Amino acid sequence: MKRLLVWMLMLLCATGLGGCQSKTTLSPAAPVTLTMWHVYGEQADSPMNRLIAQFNETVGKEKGIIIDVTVVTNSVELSPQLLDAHANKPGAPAMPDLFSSFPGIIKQMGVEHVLDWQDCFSEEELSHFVKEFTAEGMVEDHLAVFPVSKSSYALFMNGSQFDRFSAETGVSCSDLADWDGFFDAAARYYEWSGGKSFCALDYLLHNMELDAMAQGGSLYAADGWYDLENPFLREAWMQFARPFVQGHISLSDPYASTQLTTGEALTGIGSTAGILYFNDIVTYPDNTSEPTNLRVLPLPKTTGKTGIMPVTGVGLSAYRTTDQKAEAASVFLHWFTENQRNLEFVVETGYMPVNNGAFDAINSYPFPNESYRELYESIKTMRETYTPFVQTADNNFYRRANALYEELRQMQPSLHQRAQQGESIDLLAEETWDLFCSVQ
Amino acid sequence: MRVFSNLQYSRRSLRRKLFGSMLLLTAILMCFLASGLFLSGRFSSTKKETAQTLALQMEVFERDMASYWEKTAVLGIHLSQEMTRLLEGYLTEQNILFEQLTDSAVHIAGVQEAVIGPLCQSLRQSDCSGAFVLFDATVNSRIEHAGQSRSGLYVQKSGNGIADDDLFLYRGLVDTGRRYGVTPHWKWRLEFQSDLFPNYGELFSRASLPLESSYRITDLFTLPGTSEQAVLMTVPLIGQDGAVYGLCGFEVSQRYFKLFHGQPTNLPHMVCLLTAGDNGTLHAEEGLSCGISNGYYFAPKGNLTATDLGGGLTLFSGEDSSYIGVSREVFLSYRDPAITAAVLIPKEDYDRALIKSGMQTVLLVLLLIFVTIVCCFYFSRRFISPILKSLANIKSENRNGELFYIAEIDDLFAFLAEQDREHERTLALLTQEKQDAQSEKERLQDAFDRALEKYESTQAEISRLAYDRKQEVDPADYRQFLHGIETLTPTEHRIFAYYLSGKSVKEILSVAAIKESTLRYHNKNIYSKLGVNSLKQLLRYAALMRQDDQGNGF
Repeated sequence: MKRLLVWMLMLLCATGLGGCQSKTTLSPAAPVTLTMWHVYGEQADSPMNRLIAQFNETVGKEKGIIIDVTVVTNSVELSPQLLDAHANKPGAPAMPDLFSSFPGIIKQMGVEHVLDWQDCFSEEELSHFVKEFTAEGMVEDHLAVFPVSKSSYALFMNGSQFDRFSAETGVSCSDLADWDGFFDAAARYYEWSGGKSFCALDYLLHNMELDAMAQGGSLYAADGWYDLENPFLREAWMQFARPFVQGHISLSDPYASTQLTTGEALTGIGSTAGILYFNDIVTYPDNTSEPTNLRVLPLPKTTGKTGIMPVTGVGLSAYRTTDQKAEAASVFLHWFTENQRNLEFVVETGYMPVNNGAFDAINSYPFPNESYRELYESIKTMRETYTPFVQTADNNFYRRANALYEELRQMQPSLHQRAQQGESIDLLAEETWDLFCSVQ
Repeated sequence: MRVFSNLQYSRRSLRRKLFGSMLLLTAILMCFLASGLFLSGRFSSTKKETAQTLALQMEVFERDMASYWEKTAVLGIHLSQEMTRLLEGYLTEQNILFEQLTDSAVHIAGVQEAVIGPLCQSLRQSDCSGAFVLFDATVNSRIEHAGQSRSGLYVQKSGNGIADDDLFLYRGLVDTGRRYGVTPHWKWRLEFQSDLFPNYGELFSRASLPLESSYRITDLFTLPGTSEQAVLMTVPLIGQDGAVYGLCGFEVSQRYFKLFHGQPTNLPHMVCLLTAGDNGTLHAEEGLSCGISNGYYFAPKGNLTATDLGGGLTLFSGEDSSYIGVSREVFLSYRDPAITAAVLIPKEDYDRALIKSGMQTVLLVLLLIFVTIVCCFYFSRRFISPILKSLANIKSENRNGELFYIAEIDDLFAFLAEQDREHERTLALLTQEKQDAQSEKERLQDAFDRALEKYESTQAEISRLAYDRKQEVDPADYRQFLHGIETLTPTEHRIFAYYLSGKSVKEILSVAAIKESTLRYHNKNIYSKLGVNSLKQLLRYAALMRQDDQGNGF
């Protein structure tokens, strides 16, 4: 009888205490769901969502992790949405467990609210990533924003139209290597096309800023906005403002890909990641259409100066909640940033890899089409000959920049009209400078 | 039987016997309990509960679908009436015919300008991901494929979430869209391509009044240029004269459907399908699917083959995964064929629930057995211990004074005490009697000893006297006497024995049944043969002879 009792007790103990022996907090039988907001593929096919589906079907199912993408947005709209969610504002959705972010957002949110990825990755593991990229994600002493991809700027063009323009005017791609050649080509295209914009710029301020930096000087003031007293800044602004008021170049609405798709502009300067959003067909107002034949060139540089390669892009942050979610986030990020996977992801989305191994392998990657090959050729050229520059991630900066862009978009038709009516180009450009200085 | 018999009659302790009886009783009770649970269907509770839950979810999903599509149809009909009114208003205002829209960029822009506001408003009022209006006209009939190009507007909600008000222009004039804050979609095109519009020819050919019976739901299709899948609810634009101007309606994208129709449930991986089904096959990827509120689900892929599991459940087997669920045909518009609504859970979840339920039952049974054994052990021990103690007391004969507070045992001890007292009294009597008997025995022994002593002295006297007599008897006569006995006839010998036994003549006459004369005759012969003269001499020789025989015997 005693023996039976002992067996019974052992059985009960084994049944009751079985769970205590497990080291992981994850369980395939009761998967943990991580909600995610990201910026990879808004209103378009999303390679990120495909990878996440692959993760959910494989590693996620095996370990008990489900990544549920609830918002796909763009980097401009991301910050206010995250801050509203974090502040639990009425009507704001719940804060996601994983989200694309800039270090500036984390600073506003409070670094204590997000995971420190240094707790999830060993020093040896972190050494496999591009050091500058991981350094950019540091907020205080936390690796709060893990780089999963980085983008730069490139010049995209409607190849079909450019070939005709080039054949008739002699303007070639090599003329677009520096800003002088670029603005000259813009003026000639304006004439050739009967008043169309040569280029739509996604980030006018950043392009102007790179030009000013190439000429020298510190650009930023203490409040995160520009030092408006900097003479190089004004000179660079005026260089962009003159073709702008004449309609040779324009601001994107909201991205250059739209203007190329509608035939409103021949080229566009924007994020390398924008390649995902370019339409393969250009449709003109008379409903005629032709293949876009998208071509990609390096970002023009300041004439006679070393080019500056902007490095930008959001990283991935994890909202600090439970240990189980932290472990799940770590598993996902390890999986997502593996060499080959990182390479496949960035190549599909037009980003630069963040993993040294993936960077090395990119040269031999079988690109899906010629546009992508040209894009990575341009990135390679810029990496090899340009000076890298990490752009500001200050949320306040982007708020003022967006306000400025909105004003400029509204002003441009009248400025263009006034320029056509013979008003002084310099005076019109001065008006834009005044607007720039007035932005709060 | 023999074993049972052996067990039945084997010598077991009282405690084991009680333990066994209690165990048997418990086992019988548990059997009855199990039978009751089985008969009341408690053992199949997982399957039953799953079927009930899924049936309830199906009810909710079906009502949700019916309500949703009905509301969308009402909005679609209103949209059609409004678009038709605005179009005819513009045509009247411009004094042109509808056919004159074709090849007129100005009038097409004018019409789009007129309808875009109400179209966006309808979209925002609806629970749909997009709204469109398509006119049977094109801006340029001279280009290649102009026959498939149709002017119109197609506005979509942003993918950021249900509450997001941002709109994208998927089809239509960019400038018109911009003026209403509608940003061109990444995959924007100026006009619709009718060859990519699902069921386009059929929708046009069957367009007729009343609108209430003319709305349709298209097949699931991929929005050109994107990976997004959607269905359209279409309503024809029919003028006052019956002319069909085009189509309008709403888009329900898979992404939006998933977001908007996530079902409230406690089934963590539930999937709801609204898709085509035939002959026991569910075409999972040909329709819309959604999961649970604020949750993720694994959308079924390919075709799912249905197998009835009984109890209201169906197994849906696919190439990659299998599901358990319920399905039902639903009618969402008048003329469209029935669509199958299905509510499914992954088979792994169902199997896990079954295993969990089984494990719980096994654990419960084990626990019951454990508790039963412990209880039987404890109670049998508790019940038997006073009995064993009392038995031990009985054995130890120390049963005085202690009370067990068990009526039967205390009564038994009272009875035994009374018996003891009775026995003690009997014993005392017997002891007394024994002592008396012992005294009597001793007295008798003394008397016997004295009698024996007297007897022995008498015998010695007799021997001495016999010896003296013998010395007085003539040995020759005595020898003749002894010899003469052997010559006696049987009758004479018998009469001689009568004399020796002390019988009188009268007694001998009576015993031997002879006459006195006969006796005298025999006496004469006997005297003669024995050489005696009288009966007295005869008896003296006989006594001597007996004395000799006894002396030889001593």
